[in-house]
Amino acid sequence: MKLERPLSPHLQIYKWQLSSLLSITHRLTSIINLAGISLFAAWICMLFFGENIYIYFETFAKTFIGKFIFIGFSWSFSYHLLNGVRHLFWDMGYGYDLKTANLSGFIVLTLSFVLTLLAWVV
Amino acid sequence: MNKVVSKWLMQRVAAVLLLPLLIWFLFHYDNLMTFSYNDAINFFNNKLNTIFLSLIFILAFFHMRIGMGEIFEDYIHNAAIKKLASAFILIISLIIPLVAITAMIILSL
Repeated sequence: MKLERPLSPHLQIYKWQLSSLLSITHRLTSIINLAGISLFAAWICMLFFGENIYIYFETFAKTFIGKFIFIGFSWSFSYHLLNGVRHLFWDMGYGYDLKTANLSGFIVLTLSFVLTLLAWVV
Repeated sequence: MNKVVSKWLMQRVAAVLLLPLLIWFLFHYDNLMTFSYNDAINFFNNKLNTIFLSLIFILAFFHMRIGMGEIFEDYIHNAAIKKLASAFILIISLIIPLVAITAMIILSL
């Protein structure tokens, strides 16, 4: 039998804590962002095909579910962007000790909601 | 440079370039998603918007393809499925930006 490289420990194996939760959320939001940007491309296509098609988007955008999805995407973009900055600091070798990592995680989580709110209010 | 290292680095380069673009995007996205047809057409009459969005599509899908590769590497054990998943990601990371950018360019003409 050919030996494969080991897989990453699967999610069920971790004890839940802020650091792991935020790490998983980073990956989850990456997938949500892919859906978000793909739907944004679909929005461009609807616009491209003219007013008769775009009206379906306009109708959907006015519903509660539409608003919820778009605000959700804003939060997902915000979170991945902010936590991405946190990753860049790690990549440069900063912020590894537990206290700093927990604090930066808490800041990122808080700011992700602030940024979403700012984007939709301003 | 090792191929894996250069992939790792390129993903970070794309991320840094995306940072200012995505902050710009975030503050337009809320408006775009409430725009009427005429508002949206007007938005694309400004070529700068088309340029920014095109850059976002190219960089985001480039960044995404490497990131998805990492996720597959971590969680997909079956080599055939991994290959299939990577091929799927490669195809959409080429087609979606191509279609979106083409449509935006025609809209802003």
